[in-house]
Parts: sequence; C-alpha cells; structure tokens
Amino acid sequence: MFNLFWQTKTNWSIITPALFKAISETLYMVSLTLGLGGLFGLILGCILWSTRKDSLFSHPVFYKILEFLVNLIRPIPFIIFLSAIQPATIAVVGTSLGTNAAIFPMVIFCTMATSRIVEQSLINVDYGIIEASFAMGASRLRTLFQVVIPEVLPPLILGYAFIFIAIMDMSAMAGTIGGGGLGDFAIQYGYNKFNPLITWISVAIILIIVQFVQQFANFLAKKLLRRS
Amino acid sequence: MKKPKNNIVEFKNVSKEFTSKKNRRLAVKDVTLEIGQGEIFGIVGRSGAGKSTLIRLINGLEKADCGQVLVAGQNIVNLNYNGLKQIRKNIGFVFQHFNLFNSKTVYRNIEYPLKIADKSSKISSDDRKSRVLQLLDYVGLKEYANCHPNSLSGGQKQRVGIARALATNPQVLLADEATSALDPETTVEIMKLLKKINREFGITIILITHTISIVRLICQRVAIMSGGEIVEIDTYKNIFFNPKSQAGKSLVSTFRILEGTGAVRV
Ligand SMILES: Nc1ncnc2c1ncn2[C@@H]1O[C@H](COP(=O)(O)OP(=O)(O)OP(=O)(O)O)[C@@H](O)[C@H]1O
Ligand SMILES: [Mg+2]
Repeated sequence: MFNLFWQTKTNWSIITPALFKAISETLYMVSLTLGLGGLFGLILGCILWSTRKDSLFSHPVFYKILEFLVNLIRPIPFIIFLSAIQPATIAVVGTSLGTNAAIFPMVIFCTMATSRIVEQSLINVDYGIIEASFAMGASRLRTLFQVVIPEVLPPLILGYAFIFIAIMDMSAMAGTIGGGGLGDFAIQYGYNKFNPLITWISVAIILIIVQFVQQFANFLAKKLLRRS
Repeated sequence: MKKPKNNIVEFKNVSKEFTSKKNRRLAVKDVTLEIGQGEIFGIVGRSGAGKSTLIRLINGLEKADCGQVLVAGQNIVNLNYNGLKQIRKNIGFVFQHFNLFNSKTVYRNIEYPLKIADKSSKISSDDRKSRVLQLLDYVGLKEYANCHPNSLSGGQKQRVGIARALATNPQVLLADEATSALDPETTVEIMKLLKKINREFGITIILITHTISIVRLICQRVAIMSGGEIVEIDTYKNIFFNPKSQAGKSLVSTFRILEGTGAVRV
C-alpha cells in the first residue's frame, strides 16, 4: 500500500501554478491578518494593560469585562470558531467563502491573541520609568506611546513572531472554507491524491517562511536589546 | 546656619494616608515645614518613615489628603493636570534607580522633558538641541550623547538623570536616595555635582539619604522623620552632636556605629 504513494505520477504542469497560487494566497491571508489583527491587538492590549489596577487609566471593572471577553473567545478551537462566526462573516465580508471570508475570523482571533501578548509584555515594564515620565510633566498618553511602548519593543517583536506562527496555523485551517493557501494545497493535491511529496513540499515552504520570519524577529529584537 | 527668608517649598499641616482593603497607613502625619530658596535640605529617617511620600507630595506624584503644599507660593494640592504640568516643569526629580529610558539614547533622555514642556513654551528644536548639549557638557558626558543608558556606569547614569532633571531649568531638585546604588567615590562625585548645581544656579535641593556623611557634606539643614512625622529639624552639627528626639538619638547612634562620622571634625 505504501508503495502506491510513490507510484502516483506528479503532474508538474498542474502542480506548479497551483503551488504558486497557494503560496500567494497564504502570504496574502497571513500578512493581512498580521497587519490588521496585530494593530487591533496592540490597541486592545494597551487598553487591557492600562485599565489594570494601578495602571495608567486604572478601571478594574472595565478591565474585568474586557478580560472576560478576550478569555471567552481565545480558547475556542479556531476551526470551530470559523463556523461559529459565519453569520458575522457574511454580514461583514458579504460571503462566507473564499480568502477574504477566511481573513475576517483570523483577524478577530489574532486580535485576541495579540492583545494578551502585548498586555503581558507591558506588565513587565518597570514602574520607575512611568513615574519618571510623570515627574517631568508628561501626560498618561504620552507616557504610554513615548516611554512604555518603546521600552517593550524587543519582547513585543518576539511576541509578534510567535503570533505569526499561530496565524500560519490558522491560515491552513482557513483552507477548509475555500480560503486557499498552502494548507488547502497540501490537502487537495497531497492528502487526497495520495501524493505525500506534495504535502512535504508544502511543509517545507511553510517551514522556510516561518524560519525566515522568526530569524528576522530574533535579529531585530537582539539589535534593539543591545542598543549601545 | 539659618533658613533663607524666601520659602520655595512649604508644607502646612499636610497628611497623606494610604488605604487598601486590608489596612490604612498614615505615611505623612500633619507635617508643617518650610524650605528656603537655595537651600540644600536633607531628609533622614528609618525605612518606612514617610520620606519618599513627603517629597512626592511636592511635585504631586502623591496627593495630600489634607493641608497645603506650596511650591513657589502656589498650593499644588488641588491642581489639575495642566497645573501640575507647569509645577513639574519647575521641579526636577532624581531617582535612586535612575529610571532612565533604555529605549532612548542619552541625548533623547535629556531632550524628553524639553519636548513635554515644548507646547507651552515654544522652544525651537535648535534651542532644544543646544540646551541638551549644554547639559551633557555640564555633567561631563558629551561623548555619550548617542549611547543608550544600558552601556553606562551607575555614576554616569545618575549624571544623565541629573541632566534630565535640570533640563527645564527648575527651581527645585528632589533627590530620593540618588546615590544609594552607587559606590562611595561616585557618591562623592555626584554630591559635588549637586553642590555645584546649587551654587551656580541657586537651585533648591531636597534630598533623602540614609548616609549621614552626605548630610554633613552638603546639607545646610536636615529633617528627621519618624512614623510619618518630622520630629526634628536642625543643622547637621546640632543633630549629630545633640539630637533631641528619640528617633534622632537612635539614628545618630546607629550612624556612629556604621560610619564613625563622629570622629570627623566639622
Ligand atoms: N503607594 C503606596 N501604597 C500603600 N502604602 C504606601 C505606598 N507608598 C508608601 N506606602 C507606605 O507608606 C509608608 C511610608 O513609605 P515611604 O516610601 O514614604 O517611606 P520611606 O521613608 O521613603 O522609606 P524608605 O527609606 O524605605 O524608602 C510605608 O509604610 C509604606 O509602606
Ligand atoms: Mg523611600
């Protein structure tokens, strides 16, 4: 039976364009999600952190509610969330199928995950520098944007690299609703056609993309950390 | 040494209490105090005596529960943000752990308070630049403008801290254990710098310390705090050789054991 896999003829004239299409779909989904979800997550994370007790805009009740909402959505398996949110996707994107329809739930999920990572990074900020900023007459917003966020940039960058991998994971699942991408490609041409070579090509490409992003993030974070 | 006539900082029956769910703590208890323009004023006392809280009341980092805190004649207790911003421009703060911004260069650290003050006083960016360079030169760190604080020694960091605190040309400089994290030689260097600043610019310096030799070195008057109250105010000599309060006596005997400062002629 195993031998059968290897006897499958790989028709490169069909596979190659499909592969490139899959790569571009993945990059499209992932970069759009990272851009939008990363931005919304940054904002949400800052709101979470700054409304904590004794923080810049301390508001424990507001914080509790927001935290509850984030924690409510985050543990849902993404593939279930994808279908649970279908009505909202149709309302916002106009359709529940295709690449754009896949991006909507990805952005929401990414926002939630990013917010928690941003909040965690901000928690580690030394209160002394916040106090120093206040002592010089800075407002709370200025302190947040010009002191606190720059201070946590290195861990934030690493956090975003982590998020990036999570988005790659989501994008593969998004293939199931016609989102396309490398996940879909691997299932369609690899798994369903008993051609593991195709699956492995997808795996290799995903690994290359992830490694590239991770190494770049490491480099950037290190460079910022070693500021001399 | 007598207190100068004009008061730059004045406390009138000021109290500050911290309350949490579990307990209440009266950190500053009915303090009345006058600090004259151009003085170097020391505050000593045991840990938890309320020293930090007291000086944080001066720039509004803590808000008094009752009483008045006057800075250059203005009661700052009920000021809104814009009022406080003006006051804070006039009060530099130097911290024990420097609290420099590691994400910014030394230059940007010192420029930051100028940028904050910018909107109201319209300093041009050229003026800002020359001001920062002048300050860097003053604290002897001209070559370090583009370094990040991480790469500096403790003494250099505190010099940046002092330059940053002086940037907006304040009348008052608050220093909360500014040399506690530094070695003795560096401590003396920093103290000399503070003394020079006081002499050349007439800036009033209020400093908290756990080291009596610092008081001897630069303070004209010193207050002893205990349990949130000021129990004694006098010159170094009077306090060291003739402490009147219980807290003063116990502090001085401890200082004698630790530092042997008694042997030094004043
Ligand atoms: N933000 C705060 N919340 C609750 N209690 C506080 C707070 N700040 C200070 N306190 C309490 O107020 C009292 C005085 O504290 P403060 O920091 O002024 O003492 P200190 O004399 O500066 O001590 P140290 O020499 O250790 O710095 C202490 O009992 C402290 O626990
Ligand atoms: Mg203290």
